[in-house]
This record gives sequence, C-alpha cells and structure tokens, in this order.
Amino acid sequence: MKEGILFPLILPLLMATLSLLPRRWRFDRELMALLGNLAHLVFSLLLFFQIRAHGVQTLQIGAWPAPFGITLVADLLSASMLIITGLVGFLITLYSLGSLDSLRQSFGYFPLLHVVVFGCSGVFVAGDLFNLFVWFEVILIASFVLLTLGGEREQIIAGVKYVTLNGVASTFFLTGIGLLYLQMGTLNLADLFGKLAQVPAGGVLSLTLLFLLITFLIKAGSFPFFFWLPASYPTPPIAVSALFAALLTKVGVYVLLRFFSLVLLPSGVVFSGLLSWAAGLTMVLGVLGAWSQMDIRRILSFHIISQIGYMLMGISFLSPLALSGAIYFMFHNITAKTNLFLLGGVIALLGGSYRLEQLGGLFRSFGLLGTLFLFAALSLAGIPPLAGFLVSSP
Amino acid sequence: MEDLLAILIGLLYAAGVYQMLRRSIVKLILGLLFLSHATNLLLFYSGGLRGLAPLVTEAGSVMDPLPQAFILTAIVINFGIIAFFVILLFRAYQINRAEDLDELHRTE
Amino acid sequence: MVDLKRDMLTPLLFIYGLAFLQPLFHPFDRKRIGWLLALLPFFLTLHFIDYIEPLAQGERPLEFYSWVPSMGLNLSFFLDPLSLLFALLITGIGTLVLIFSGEYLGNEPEQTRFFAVLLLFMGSMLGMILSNNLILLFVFWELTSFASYLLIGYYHEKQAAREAALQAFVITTLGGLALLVAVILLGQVVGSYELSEVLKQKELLQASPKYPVILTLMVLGSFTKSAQIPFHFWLPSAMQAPTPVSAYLHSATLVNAGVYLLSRFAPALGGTELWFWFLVTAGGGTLIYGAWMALFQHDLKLILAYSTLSVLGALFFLLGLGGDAAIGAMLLLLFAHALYKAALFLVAGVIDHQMKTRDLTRLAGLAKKMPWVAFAAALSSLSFIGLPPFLGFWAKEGVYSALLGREGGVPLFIFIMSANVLLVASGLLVGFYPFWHQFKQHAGPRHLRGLGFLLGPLLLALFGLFYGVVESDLPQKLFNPAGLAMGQAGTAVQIGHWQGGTELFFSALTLLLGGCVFVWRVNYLSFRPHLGPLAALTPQRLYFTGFQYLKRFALWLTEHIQNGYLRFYLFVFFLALLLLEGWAWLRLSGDIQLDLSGIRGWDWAIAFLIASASLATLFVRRFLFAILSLSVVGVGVIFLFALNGAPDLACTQILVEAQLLVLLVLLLSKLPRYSKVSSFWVHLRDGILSAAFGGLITLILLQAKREQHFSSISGYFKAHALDLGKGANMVNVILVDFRGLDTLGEITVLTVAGIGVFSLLKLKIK
Repeated sequence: MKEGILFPLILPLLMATLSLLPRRWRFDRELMALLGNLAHLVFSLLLFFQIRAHGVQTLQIGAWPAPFGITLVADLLSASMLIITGLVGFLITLYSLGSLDSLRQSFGYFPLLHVVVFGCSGVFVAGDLFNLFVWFEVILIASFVLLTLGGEREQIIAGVKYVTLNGVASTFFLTGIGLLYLQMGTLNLADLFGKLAQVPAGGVLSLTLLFLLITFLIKAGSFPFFFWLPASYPTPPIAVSALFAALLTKVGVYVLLRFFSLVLLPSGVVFSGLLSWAAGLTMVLGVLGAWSQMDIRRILSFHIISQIGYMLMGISFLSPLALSGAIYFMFHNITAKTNLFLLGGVIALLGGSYRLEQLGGLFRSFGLLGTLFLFAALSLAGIPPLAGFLVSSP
Repeated sequence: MEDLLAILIGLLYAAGVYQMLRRSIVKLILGLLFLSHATNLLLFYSGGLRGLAPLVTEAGSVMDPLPQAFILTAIVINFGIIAFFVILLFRAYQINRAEDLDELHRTE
Repeated sequence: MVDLKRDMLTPLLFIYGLAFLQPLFHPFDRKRIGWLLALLPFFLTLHFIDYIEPLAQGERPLEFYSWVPSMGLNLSFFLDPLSLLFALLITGIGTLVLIFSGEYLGNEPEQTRFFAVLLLFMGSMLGMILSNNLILLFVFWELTSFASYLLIGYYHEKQAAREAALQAFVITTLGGLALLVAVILLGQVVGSYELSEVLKQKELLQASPKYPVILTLMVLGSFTKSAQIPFHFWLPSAMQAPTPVSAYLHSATLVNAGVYLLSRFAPALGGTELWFWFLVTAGGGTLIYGAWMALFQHDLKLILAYSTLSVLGALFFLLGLGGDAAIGAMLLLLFAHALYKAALFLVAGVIDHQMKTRDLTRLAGLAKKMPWVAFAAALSSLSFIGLPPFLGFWAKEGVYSALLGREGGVPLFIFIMSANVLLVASGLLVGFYPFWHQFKQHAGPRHLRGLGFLLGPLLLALFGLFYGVVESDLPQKLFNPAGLAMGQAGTAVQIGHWQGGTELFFSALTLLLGGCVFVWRVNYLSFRPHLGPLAALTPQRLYFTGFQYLKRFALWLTEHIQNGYLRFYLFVFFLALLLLEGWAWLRLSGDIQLDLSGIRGWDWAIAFLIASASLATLFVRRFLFAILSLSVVGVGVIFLFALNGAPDLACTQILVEAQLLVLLVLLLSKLPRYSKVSSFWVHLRDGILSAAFGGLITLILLQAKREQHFSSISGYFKAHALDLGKGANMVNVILVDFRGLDTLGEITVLTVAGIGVFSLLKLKIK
C-alpha cells in the first residue's frame, strides 16, 4: 500500500472542496470537519504503523522517476507529525463548534481549516524543495484568510503585518531555491543529499543555503525574525490562535530539522553556531516578552517563541540525543500549547476578559479548569513528571 | 546577457527593499511586487539564458524548462497572494483612514 | 497488609494513587479524613521500620526498571541506612501531620486540594531519597519544589502567600537548574547516571577538572533547598503556609533535602578544601544568623523558622567538618531536630487555630487552657534547648565532643556554643513563654477539643524523651550504619553514654547563659520584629529589587523590540539577512568577473526600460504614476521572457500584469497622496541598506553562475516530454504532468485567495 501516504493529503483537500459546495449538495459542514479530521488522524496512524512495519514510505507522484517527478516521503517523524496534525485539527474543530460565531463559520472557516491541515500534511511528506515551497504557500494563504476572517480592526492590522513579513519570507525562499537550482541542478531532497556531499566546501553555496536557513528561521519564529508572531496570534478568535500556535511555527521547526539533516550536514556547511545564538536569544527574549504581558493570549504567544528557542537549541547541538529531545519537545509543545490556548479561551469566556488583572478567583469557581490549565502550564514550564521536563534534561 | 540580468535582478531587489521600508501602504505593495519580479527573474536566471523556447519541436538546444515551470507556478501563486493583500491593505486603509503604515503600530 | 518488602516503587505509587483518589473519601467523613489518609504513611512507617534490621546487617535492596534509556533515565531505587533515616522521618512525621491537618483544616472546602498536594509532596520527597538514578532524583527534587510552591501558596487569595510561594519557587528552581547541570556533568564524568555507580568514583571525580564546577553547582542546589545564606530568606517568608505544612516541610523534610543531597554525595565529593570552606562558611553563617534573628521575632512561627535555619546551618557546618564524630553528631541532630521542631510547629498550629494569633505579645497563660499542649511544648522545647536526658541533649553533647575532640576545634566550638546559647533562649521563648507567663489570667474562651490536635505534638515530644532515656539500639541500628553509608567509621553516635566532664560542663554553661539571655530578652527588650542589626543584611531586599528591575527591563525591551512598526520589522529582516549573507560573503575568496559582451541590442533596451521604470517608481509622488511605472517594469519583464525563449511565461505575465494593474488602479489610486515624508537620514539609511542588499544579490548570482556543481536534471524532460508526457511544450508537460502536484497546490492557493477576498469584502464584524 504505497498510496497510504496520499490519504492524509487527499482527505483534507476533499473535505475542503466538499464543504465549499452549496448547502443542498453536501452534508453538514461541522460533521464533515469532525469526521474528516478524525479520518485524517486514523489514516496517519495507519501510515505510522505501516512505516513501523515496512520502513520509510516513498511515493512518486504520477509514477515519474525520482529526481524528475515529485517525491513524497514519510518516515516515522513525518507520520508522527501527521498524527498530531490530525489530532489538533480534530480538537480545534470540536472547540470551534462550541465557540466560533456562525458568521465566521458560514464564511469558509471550515474549508480553511481543512486547507491548513492539507498544507501542513504536505509539508510533512514533501520530498522536493519547490514542492515544499508550494505547500508553504498553501498554508500561508489559508492562514492569511483565517487570521483576517471576520474583518475586525485588530485582525486586519495584524493581517497586514503577518502577510507582509511572510511574503518577504517567501521571497527569500524562492531566492534560495533559484540559487540552489542554479548550482545543483536539482531540488529533490534525496538527490540533493547525495550530490551535496560531493561539493567542495568554501564556495558560494553556503550563501545559498543561508537564504534557505533564514527562511525557515522566519517560519519558525526565531530571533530576530519573530515579530510576526506576537503581532498576529493574539488577534483572531482563540480557536484560530490555537491552530496557529499548534502547527505554524512547528512546521518551520520541522523543516529546519529536515534541512539540517538532509541539506546542511551533507554539504558540510553547518551554521550550528549561528543557530545556537539565535536559539538562545529567542529563548531569552521570548521569556522576557511573556513576562511583560498581561493578556493571556499575548503571554502564550511570547511563550511560543521562547519554546521555539528550546527546539532550535536542540537542533543546533546536532547530536542524536538533542535532536530527539527537540522532536519530543515539539510534540509535547504542540499539544500543551493548543490546550493552553483553548483553555485561555474558556477562561476568557468565563471571566469576561483576557487580561490577567481583570481575572481572579476563577480557581474557586472553576477548580477543574484551573487544574487543567495548571497542568498544561507547568508541563510547558518543564516541571516533572509531565512530559515537558523530559525535554529540558538532555 | 546573464551578467546583465544579474545586475538587473539586484536592481529590482534594491528597489523592492527600499519601497517596502517606506511608510506608505501603496509603496509596501509595490515593493512586494518588485521583489516578486526579482525572484521570478532570478529563477529564470538559474536555468541559463542560452537556447530556444523549450519545445520538443525546436531543433537545436532549448532552454531548461524546469525553472520556467517553477516561475509559472510562482507567478500564479503570487498573483493570488497579492490580490488578497491589495484588498487587505485597502481594508486597513478603510478602517484606519490613514495611508500611513506607522498608524498601525498602536494595536500592539 | 500488603507485603512491601524489597519494594520501593510500590510505596510511591500508593502515595501518588492516594493523592488522586482521596477526593473520593471526602464526602463520607470530612472530619476524620486526616485519620483515614494517615493510615497509608503509618503502614509505610512500619514497612520502613522492618528495613532497619536487614540494612544494619549490610543488605542493600535495589529495584530497577528501564524507563527512557536513551537519556539515562531509569526508575532505579535503592535503600541504605542514610535514606532509611530520612524515609522514617518522612513517613512517620507525615502520619502525624496528616492527622493534624485533618483537624486543623476542619471543614475547609479546599482541603481536598490540600491533601492532594501534601500527598504529592510526601511521595516526591520519599521518591527523592529512594532514587538511585541521578536524573530521577532531580525529577523528584523538582517535584518537591513544585508541591511546596502549591502548599505555601495554599491561601492563594492572600497576596503575601502568593509572593512567598513564588519566591520559594524561584529560588529553589534556580537551585534545581544548578543541580540539573551538576547531575549531567556527573553523568558525563562517570559515564553513568546510576547513583550507586557515581558514588564509587571518588578518585575519578575529585581528579576531574570539572570537580569544582560540579561541587559548586551541587552546593548551590542544596543551599537553595535548605535555605542557607545567601538563599535563606525564602524560608521565613514561607511561613505564610498553613502551619501543618510548615511542620512537615519546613522542619523535617523539604528543608532537609539539601542536607540529604550533600550527605549522599559526601563519600564521592566530600573531604576536599573546597567542600570544607563552602559548607563551613555558609553553614556557620546561617547558624549564627538564624539563632540571632530568631531571638527578635514575635511571631511563633518566625522564631521557629529562624531557629530551623540555624540548625540547618549547624548540619551543613558539621557535614563540612567531616570526620566520624561530626557526622555522627550531625545525624543525631538531624533526627532530634526533626522531632522537636515538628512538634513545636504543630504546637504553634494549635495556638494559631485556637487563639487566632501567633503573636507572642498577645499570648499568655495558655497552660491553663490547654495543659496537654503546654506539656508537649515543654517537652519538645526541653529537647530543643538540650536538657538532659532529652534526645536534643545527646545531639548537643555529640556536637560539642566532636568539636572539642578536634585539633584546632576550640574557636569553632566557641562559635557554635554562642549560637546555641541564643537558641536556648528562643527555645524557652517558644516552648514556655506563651504558656506560663501571666499564668493566672488566661485569655480567650475557646476550649481545645480533638485528639488530632494533641496526638502529633505529644507523640513527637515523647519520642524525644523516650529515646533519650531508654537505652535503645537505635544508634547501632540506624545512626551508625548511616554514618557508615556516608563513608565514616560509623561508631560515633552514642545515646545515654555520658561523655567527659568537659562537654557536660559546657552544656550546663550553655543552658545557664541561654537562660540569662531569655530573661534579658523577655524583661529588657520590648517585642519588635526587626531589631537585630543583622536585619539590614537582607538578600531578600536584593531579590525583590532585582525582580522588579528585571520585570521593568523585560517590559522595556519588549516594547522596543515588538514595537508595532511594520517598517522596523522589515528593516530588521533585511538587515539581518544582509549582515548574515555579507558575513558569509566575506569568508569567500575569489574575484568577480563581469562579462557584458555579446548582448543583443534589444536586451540592452529592455534592461534600460526596467531600470529606468524602477527608478521612476522610487521618485514619483503620485500613486497612479508609481503604479504605472510598475507596469512598465512588468512590460519589460514580459519582453525579457518573450525574447529569451520563454513564451509561456510572457503570456502568463501579461494576464497577471493586466489584472493586477486594474486592481491596483481601482483600489489604491483612490488613496490620498502620501504627504508625510521621512527625514533625509532615514532615506539615506534605507537607501544604503537596499543598495547593499541588491548589490549583494548581484554578486552572489555572478559567483553562483561560476560555481555550478551539477548540470540540471532537465535532460529527462527534453527526452521524454513527447513520448511519455504526450506534449511538445515541455513547460506545460511539466506543469500538468511531471509536477502536477505543484499545480494542485497552486490552484488551492488561488481558490483560498478567492475566499479571502470575498470574506474581506463581505464579512465585517465590528
């Protein structure tokens, strides 16, 4: 079953298309969103077990041979990312059903959600750099629209910044792709992996790769490129913020991980010093930022940045242990962060505000909620034995 | 011709960057368009400029078709994004009644 | 009863399980819940008592489960006499504290939470001393910090409680970080995270260049946890906690964790100069500071907290001195102190609960009202001040003889004796003053009920008396083996054997002088909180100002970085890219060659068109003109494509340009003319940045052209477009066939952009 890799892609696309149909030709949009994401989760799990049993799965789209057609690859890491994407999609759909206004729902919220899942799934199985670019753009445009859906003042203004900065990042990405193609004649990652090892060090190739590295750093929200994140995440409805927090920056981190192991390491151009500086500053500035805020959503946004720093630090060490730590941290962070954002939404719903100084005494009235928030928050803070801790230790 | 194109690309990048750094909404979008022209040309440059149109029917050496396919994809994607962006900026103008981007800083 | 022999994980699971399950019991009997919950630690105490004999015989039970082997993290436990001593304190005192808490909290609605966290703490503390894996030990260590955070902040509506909790948490977590690094370094040096392996490697560790770092970090972790100078201030603040918590955490368990840590590592890390100076200076400093400060408090709990500081200091001091006698005295002191201090804290809790105050100036004649409490207080306090034959006395004897028997120990002895004199006064102040002064008038109508209140203080106090009087085999079975486990000869602790006359004389002298200080304190010194001149020496103030400044700094920094100006963000983006690329460029060698020969006339014309239109865009003042010049650039690009073998691109570009032109003109030309102009310098700055940026791109392109390492893969398309792709136009065949997936993505983008435009125009939620 080589095509198993295709299901996590086809499914959200199908759902997105179906939910765009006029009402009488389709099922209930909400139901489709729930079932679709659940099915995505199931197929990703199946893929995971398939990979466990039979090793890495690759698929040539249209059966065109390797460096010429588009390759899709899934290993355990990709499959795990797909699983978590499905899970997050499902949970956020569930949450949106209860929390999101019907206006936004009728203006394409669910199709957009599917497209984000579609794009992320694409990134996780992409085996070709230009294809990766296309997936990035799919995620981007869907996130642009989700961010501004509703047209509230804050959303529009956040949208301008978000679109501009990510547009610039796309430009850098294409620049890097063009230069790489010019020098290497191929964009297939497996092909690059083999060819880069033969390139003598010290050439202009390092500048080419630096363009790509910076692109991914922007996507991940690293120092000094994280501005777009706190500017935009606190503005849309909390379900959207949670979706972004869970998936978007992690897509950047995931690609960085791949980029380091597939491109930078074989080419011998390793910017690990650069990355660890960026990571360190990201951590510190994120924490300071979070500390200085009083709005739950803004605190969480800055906190994402600081945690991205941890993941990047893990990647920059380039040792298997640190990498596995970074990966583990990423999974854990996705779930914990989603949880926190959603709970933040509930808190705001109950307390009437996102501002900490206007909240208080909630614990007394809503003990369970407080405990949940506490667990997720502490887990993020790296308190044992919750998963967050395991990561801080390597 | 390649070297001339390289200079031209650099020029377009510079013009794009400069305009994006201005305070005007319109210049922001113009800057982004310049950058997208520049990257398209850069992709074009990456395939080499010597040769005929990549048709099988052409005798003689043809150009590398792959970058052209990339550019086509990029142009269309960019068109979608820019169209959205233009409307978004227009909405930002409507909301803020100011063409000055610096007016947007207060929400943070 | 379940047979728990040789099993250390099970008790932990039981405790954690109970922590989660205990809310189920509350609806049945809220009043006696403490008794019910106390059953578990009670049985555990019996369980651990069973271990005394085999451990003294030299058995060392081990328990091992693999957990995350790639990180060296195993669920690995062991028990030796040293851990057993702590385990007995944790479970034994835990039993009494649980019973007491049930009474103390009464029907408070949040007591479920309290018991959950208290049990969580108990399990973690026990886990810590049973861990045979360094990382596991760290995990439990942090868990105790966390539980203590929740317990100190139990009255979370009180600002002071929240702040005290946070303060304790910040300090101990910083120490925890230090410990983590120390643990990792230890693991690196030794090559194993198993404690029993690490402890065997004394020579290896002390010869390692990392030894000073490891030791410093370890000491840092331990001092923060055990509140040694300069990290001592969280402990007095932590008196905001409910009193049972103070009795449990701040006398017998949590604060002893640091002592345990260093005692545990003493065989491997101890005995060096550095070790000596760290422990003796900080321990000695805390010893005298705590004793001095305790004297001037008027809150019962604060007196107890400062005297605890002092005793902890003494423990570290003795640990730093090393040697059989000092270690033996330390172990005995640790045990005796845990008993009497927990009892006194509980007494303070009773007083607080009944009288609603702990202020010495407002308490009098309590002995008449609560005689049994007064009795327990008196007994504990006598152990505290070291009156024979209480356990505290034997501990003090041990300390004195350890110092006097030491070469050059006399100055140290004088030092420790003066601290003890002060402590005697505090002991009398806590244990007798509120009960017996102005015995005739007793204030307050409330009468004490409930065995739960009495059981703890009484039992603990009686233990202190019992083991002092009765000749038990405790020294041979528990203390001396523990000393043995710490690498000593393990013969020092003797209860009931009178040392030489010198020690006895000095003990009596201590009591006498202490009594004088007490009288002076009570009669000639009005109660004022911060009288001691040492009060000015507060790192607490440092902590608070530091905290404030850091927070202000964070706010300032964030406001400046995340300032909301898109221009600034973009500037940083481009500048960072330029700097990084420029830095990489400078590391390259080689010269740039520019070859402008063989260019056709129309290419020059197109280049000229694009260049001049680009420049024009920069300088025109009306938007319409700017948009038009952009279109000219677009036209130039179209021609460039058309004349250089890319007809498809040219066609697409024409369509796109036309639509964009319409869109831009329709929407943006309505905008007012831009009037605010940046200053010349801003223009210059941006000009330089963008020129450098463009220039660098050109340079990279020229250079990259000369460093083509592989030829393109597109030969395949040329060869197979017709036969496999069924098309003559290679570009089209690639788009729809070879790379059809890209096109699918492209269509998705367009569709979503359509949705976006539609919703932007139609959906406007205010």
